[in-house]
Amino acid sequence: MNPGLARLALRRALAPGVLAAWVVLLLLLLPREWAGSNALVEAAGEGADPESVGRGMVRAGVWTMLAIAVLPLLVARAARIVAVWRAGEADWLGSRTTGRGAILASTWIGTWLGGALLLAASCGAIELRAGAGEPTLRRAGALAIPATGWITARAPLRWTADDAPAGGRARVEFGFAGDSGSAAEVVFRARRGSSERSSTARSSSRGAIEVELPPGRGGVEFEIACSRPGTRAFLASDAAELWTPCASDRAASGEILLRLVLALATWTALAIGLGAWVSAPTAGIALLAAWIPAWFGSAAAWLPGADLWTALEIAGWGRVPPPIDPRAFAAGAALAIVGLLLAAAGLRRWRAT
Amino acid sequence: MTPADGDALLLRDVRRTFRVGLRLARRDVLTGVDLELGARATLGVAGPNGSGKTTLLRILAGVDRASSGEVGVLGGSPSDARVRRRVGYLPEESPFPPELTARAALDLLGSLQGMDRVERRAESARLLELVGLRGEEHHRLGRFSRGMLRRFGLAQAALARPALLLLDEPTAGLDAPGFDVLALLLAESRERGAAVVIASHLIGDLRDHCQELAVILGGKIAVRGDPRELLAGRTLLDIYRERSPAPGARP
Repeated sequence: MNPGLARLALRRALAPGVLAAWVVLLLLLLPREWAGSNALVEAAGEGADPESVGRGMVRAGVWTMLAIAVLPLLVARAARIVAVWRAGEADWLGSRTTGRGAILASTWIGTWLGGALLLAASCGAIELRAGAGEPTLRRAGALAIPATGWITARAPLRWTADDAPAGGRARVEFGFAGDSGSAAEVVFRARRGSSERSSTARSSSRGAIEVELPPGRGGVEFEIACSRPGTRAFLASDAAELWTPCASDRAASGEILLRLVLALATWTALAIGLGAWVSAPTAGIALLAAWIPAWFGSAAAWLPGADLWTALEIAGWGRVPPPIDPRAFAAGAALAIVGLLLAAAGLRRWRAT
Repeated sequence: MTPADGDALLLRDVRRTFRVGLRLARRDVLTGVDLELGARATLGVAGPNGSGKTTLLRILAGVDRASSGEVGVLGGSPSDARVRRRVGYLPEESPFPPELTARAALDLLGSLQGMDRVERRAESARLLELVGLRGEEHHRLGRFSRGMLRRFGLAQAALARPALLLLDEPTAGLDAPGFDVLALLLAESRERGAAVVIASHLIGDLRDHCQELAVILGGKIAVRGDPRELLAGRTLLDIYRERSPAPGARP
């Protein structure tokens, strides 16, 4: 590890052009009104706090645009690093006593830290714009639901969860399946001992319903039923989402920042590695292609950044995404090592022409 | 292979082939270079454009690797960090980080060369003074003129007090004060007992500074001798014409 080289890489990651693009983007994004009135009315109808949803939409909107615009810029610049070296800098890098491994590791760390600083500054700006934090709910896992068919008034769905934290909420998605009426009105009950909580939701197509978990400890009995005879509904999810209280909705930005920083660490290392073998645009496209399946499915949830869009969606509700899957840290470290090994192999000869 | 005691360089049948273009066509740049150079000697390397002078110096500096053959530098391999610690290299271009000041760039290059902080500071100050850039040490390299960059390049090559100094076209783009700087650095290197290899197009560089001259033609050393004798009444172009391999001849 060479601190001087890491500082140079950090400085290059935060080149004036990158900083200017970032400032312009923030100036365009932050003043924008992200919470549409329809969305707030809908949120109010579902029992959510419109102010909290409004703050969440600012977070989700600005973070999404930054993820789409700034992250690819940082990764594309990382993919160019080896090409820049080969265009001349290899002459002073490759003739020194410091080995390729240390040169690559220092450059990667500097590049990553530069990007991380930019994202951390973005986080501060977004939170300043979103305003004071308020207590909210954090996604905390899932409660399994037994397989079921139609749900009606006479045939409710009942199941028991071994334990669920008091003060939290359980949420399921359901759909209206027809018969009489133009919508399904669904009742969701949660009972623990003598305490019971319930809620009602109505949907003509597909919707969500959540119920507060009763106080106390021990198993919770859940029941979902249609409130009117003659209507049928179905569950659109095979598990109930569990939500627990969280002190501040600002934690949402923290979770998104952490995901982006971890993904950036992985992507910059892989971009440097691929950039030692193919052109920078090809390296960028290859990386994007590798992550698309993760974004459109749940097969690779352990990949860093795989649940980024889900986390942004949750932030948009004014709530806090779950903590990062611990496997993503291990996968990120492993992929970063693969990227640096690729680069080291590609730089066996510093000069190719 | 290790050079004999006192040898700075010992090369046997060194070849370097590049693969170029979409069809990865073969381009032989060095086709069998044999070379010996004693310690304290100063060798000039001449040759037409594309003859492989820069490639040879890059191989000696450890930036590139020979495709085949044996390369001995200061008793070891140029890929060995202990050997590279004792080699100073001035590249043909001046690709130093333009965003760093002269002082910061020398500090970075010294740290990459394994020099400790105290040594780096002392040598940086001394060399910046020697090359006439002390007053510009806090200016970014990106703002330097070509001549100032060449002088900076000479300073960084001499930073670790090398036992072998490799200078690729040291006078190309050099400004007037730079010629004196080059002469000073070469004198200092000789005093220290360092061997020097200078690749150049210019008769003046080769005649004034070198004890020996090697001319590369067709990827090999075609002629070697005392530069004053070789260049007596002749230009480099005359030598290239006389010694060039016949058209169609295989290297």
